[in-house]
Amino acid sequence: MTHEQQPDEIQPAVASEINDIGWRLRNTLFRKVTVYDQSIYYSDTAKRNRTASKQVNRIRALLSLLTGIASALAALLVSITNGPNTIVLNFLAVMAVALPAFAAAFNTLADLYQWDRTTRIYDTAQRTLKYAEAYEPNISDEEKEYRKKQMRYAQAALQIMRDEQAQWGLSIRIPKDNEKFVQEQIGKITQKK
Amino acid sequence: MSHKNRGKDGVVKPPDTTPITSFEGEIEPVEKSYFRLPAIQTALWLVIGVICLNLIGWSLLPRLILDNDGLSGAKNVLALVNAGFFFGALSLCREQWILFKKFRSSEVPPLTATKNAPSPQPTLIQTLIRWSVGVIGGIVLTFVVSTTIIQVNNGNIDILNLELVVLISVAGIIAFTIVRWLNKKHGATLEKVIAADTPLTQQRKTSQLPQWIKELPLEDVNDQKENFRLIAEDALVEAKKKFAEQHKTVETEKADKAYSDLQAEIEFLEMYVVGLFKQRDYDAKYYQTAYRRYQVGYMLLAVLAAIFGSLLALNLNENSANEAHGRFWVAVFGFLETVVALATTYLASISGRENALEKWLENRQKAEGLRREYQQFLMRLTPYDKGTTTELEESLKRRAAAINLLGSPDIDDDDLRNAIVEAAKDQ
Repeated sequence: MTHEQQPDEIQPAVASEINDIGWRLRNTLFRKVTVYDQSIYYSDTAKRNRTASKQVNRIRALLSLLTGIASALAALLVSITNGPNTIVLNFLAVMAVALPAFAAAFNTLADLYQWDRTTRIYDTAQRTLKYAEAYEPNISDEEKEYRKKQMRYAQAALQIMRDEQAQWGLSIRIPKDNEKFVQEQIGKITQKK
Repeated sequence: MSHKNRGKDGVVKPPDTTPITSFEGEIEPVEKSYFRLPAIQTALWLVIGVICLNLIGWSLLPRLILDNDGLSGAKNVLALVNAGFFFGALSLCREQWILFKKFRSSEVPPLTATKNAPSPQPTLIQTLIRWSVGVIGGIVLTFVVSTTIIQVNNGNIDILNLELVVLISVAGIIAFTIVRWLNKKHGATLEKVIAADTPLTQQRKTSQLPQWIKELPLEDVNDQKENFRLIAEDALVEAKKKFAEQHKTVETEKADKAYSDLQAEIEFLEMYVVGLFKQRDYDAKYYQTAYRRYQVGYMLLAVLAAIFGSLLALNLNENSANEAHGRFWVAVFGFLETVVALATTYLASISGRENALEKWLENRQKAEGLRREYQQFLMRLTPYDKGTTTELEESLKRRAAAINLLGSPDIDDDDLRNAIVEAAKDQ
């Protein structure tokens, strides 16, 4: 099947020789779509993770506080009333049981997402990327010097991304509480059998 | 390698992304027209919502609650709609406040980008949830306000004309619908601002829910975008513009030649690398979602197990006080505990077969490897720093295929044989 070429159609091809203008254009593109956007990605992700971490920590603290209040209130009601109000006491008992369970769930969630750890990774990566920018060639550099600096700059930037990726991979793990829970539950079923 | 293309969370973007900032990263000046239509929209909501809340409070609900004089179904529906309006007004005010804060802190993308941004549509479930919350919240508020007003008016409930309520409601709804339509078309709503300011991805989330909820794996993974590119057309055009600004002495013809060479090379890379990247990126997101769903599932089951277990223990203690009652609840909670254990075993069995975590990490590693290869090639870093056109092309194709297969660009025949043997074993 023949393919009629349109006048403005671009034919995929690789240039073996790239001149000074070509390097400079590539550098402009690399700086924009790799370094700059990557840097924004790191800061955005760190910001999102920091927010999520704060929110979850706040919820965990609130749940602990409410558990304490529910327990204390139950004790108070029992001691100051003649006949215990069963509805209120039952409600408080259920709260004292359910709230720590929810707090534990939020612990597991934080463990699953590793917000604190990934925030540190992205913050560091972003700072390092800023540092790598110091290697960027100057517009006034001569051709050879420009290319030399450009290679160093691009290598440094890609290395930072590789390192960040490796660290990110290490931060992902199955939450320990979940592993323990699954083993316990499977154990229960096995015993019943 | 735009951050908007970034694949850590399985992100993939279409090529027509609107740039949100200038090249240097400075935020462009924001415009006051951000507020015009959304402000009118909010004002309408506020007036209708608040007025109707009071009108309904004064005329309808007290009759229902205090008089019980047999309100018709239409009136009840009207009461619900108006109650929902009040909550909607609160929600819009909140949006305006967030928009205002963003405006003050210059965290808003240019107006043109915002206007062009797609207006995200909520799903049916989201709409139903919002509406239910609005209606319930509105009814509660209406009840509180109306009964207070009745108390203040010494029990006099006939202080308003019902026809006026209906008239204002209908007029308000019509006016609001017109403004809302205009706003969607020409305005810069908060949803659009967020959409323009959020990385454009297949999995874009633009809601205003707390961040930790947005992180939950609630949404299904979207299909791959056919027209996805690692370097969007507009990024290339922008780079060309920037280059022209920086190098004013360069002849236009030479610059155009360099640009068309670069364009052609990007097309080549898109053809041989991005196809592989897209698949790996998609798979990574798919398994990430699956893994997180399993883990969140375990987490919820653990909550239930803890609650049922504790309640069981509580009832065991109360057994002596009320034996029959206690025995019943012990049996119920014991049964529920068993159901949780069975559900956990079931989940463990299906998640074990898939090994989503391993596949997530593997695919992500490969996708990121392909992305780096793309950049390495474009910048002619080692091993692409020397060679003829054919050698470079072959080298790229080989290395990309190797990354796609084993995650590393440098593999020998033994590695390949082992990979084939392993794949055969898996099957």
